[in-house]
Amino acid sequence: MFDKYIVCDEGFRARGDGHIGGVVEVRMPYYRGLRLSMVEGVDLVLDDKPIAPERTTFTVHGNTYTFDQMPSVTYDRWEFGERAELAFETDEPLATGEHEVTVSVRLRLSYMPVPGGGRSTKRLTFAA
Amino acid sequence: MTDTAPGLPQLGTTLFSLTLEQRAPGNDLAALLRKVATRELGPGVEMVAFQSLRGWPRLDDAAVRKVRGLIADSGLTPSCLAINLDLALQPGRLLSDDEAYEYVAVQLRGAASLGFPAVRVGVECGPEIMTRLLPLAEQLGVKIGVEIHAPLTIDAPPVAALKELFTRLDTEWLGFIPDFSASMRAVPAAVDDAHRKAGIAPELTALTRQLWAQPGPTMAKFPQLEQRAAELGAGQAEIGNLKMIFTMHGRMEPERWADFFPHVIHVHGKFYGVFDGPDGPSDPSIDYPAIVRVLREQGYTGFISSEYEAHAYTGLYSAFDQVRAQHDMLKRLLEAEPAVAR
Repeated sequence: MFDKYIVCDEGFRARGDGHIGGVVEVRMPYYRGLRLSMVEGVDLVLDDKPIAPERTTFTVHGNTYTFDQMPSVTYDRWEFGERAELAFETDEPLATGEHEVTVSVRLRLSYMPVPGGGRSTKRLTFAA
Repeated sequence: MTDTAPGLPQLGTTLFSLTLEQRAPGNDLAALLRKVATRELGPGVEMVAFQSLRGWPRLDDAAVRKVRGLIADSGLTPSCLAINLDLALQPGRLLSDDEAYEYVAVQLRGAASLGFPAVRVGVECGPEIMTRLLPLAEQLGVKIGVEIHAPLTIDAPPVAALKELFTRLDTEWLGFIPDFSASMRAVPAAVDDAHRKAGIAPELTALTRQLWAQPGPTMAKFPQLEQRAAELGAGQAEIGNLKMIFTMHGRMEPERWADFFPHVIHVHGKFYGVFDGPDGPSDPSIDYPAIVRVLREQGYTGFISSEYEAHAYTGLYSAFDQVRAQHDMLKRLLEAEPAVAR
């Protein structure tokens, strides 16, 4: 029910590290924060094209992880309301202007009868 | 504060009620505590540690001093800290008993350092872990309560096992936190709006409501819902959403709350909306007079934490106004219900 909070309206931008691609800011679709090992995936679809997880990284309060590392990160967490940075690489630079961004968050919650997480699609304006 | 007369349950608020408000800029812990106090929604204050406390459960001394100071400045009384046992912390397996003990123990110590007299855990914190936690709870002076939230009932096997444990140990440090959600008389109307917005066909929501209203334990109805919803063309995601109606809204008779006693350490006043009607404010989905009667009969004097959760379905109402309305209704009912000679 917190799906609409996943994709942040602001902060869709070019990467600052010289790589081609961008950064989407995302929030936890749950009522509390979770250790990163319980975040099974943060899947990105950009203009109908899925971006492979190995081309994305996840940054919370300045700490950056690959999705290969996340299952073993039991000491750091994605806080409630925190804007995490989902950075992605693309082959070609993104055009400035509107893009359709879909993010699915998959969470592993032992006490819920249904898979946790959510999905949200927004049209965001890319700032090069 | 919504003070109740001596000898009655005390009222309070869990900051979980303000889940949507917490997403608004500027509404940090200090601001929320101040707003709860200013609107006189105490005296009790509860919070979800993994929601309200950045860095939990590893708060350094400065952070502990800061949180204690904020609560003290607000004039609110810490009632309970909701903590979590994340059994699925590691991929592919559940935590061992040793790991589960440590996961809760560090949070119990954290609750003590913040001045909370009690913590809330879920039913996944079973008899084995609870027994191991007892000496630490006693040493720290922090009670541990297992929340009985929908779809659990007093008769559910894990709850019955805890009842047996609490009776055998006869200790004040372990017990239950019954939640109003376990005993609802109707599914809140806001569910229909939320389902419509999520693109779920009204006939699927109606089917789920109809199954919900039938007699019998909620837990047994899950397979029936899956089958009948699939026959109507529902996909897995939709069925998951429909199942949440069973998960969030229990149907245990309010009178059965008597069976949680004398092991009740705290109460959660989960609710989805108090509305003005021809006979004054009332809640269509919870039978407050019936629950209040049991609490008075049992001589309960602990806290009832108001836990507004319609924010999961709608952002139309102010949680502050809703908690105010629930407090006013609870206070009136509690003070009208005669104490029963014991």
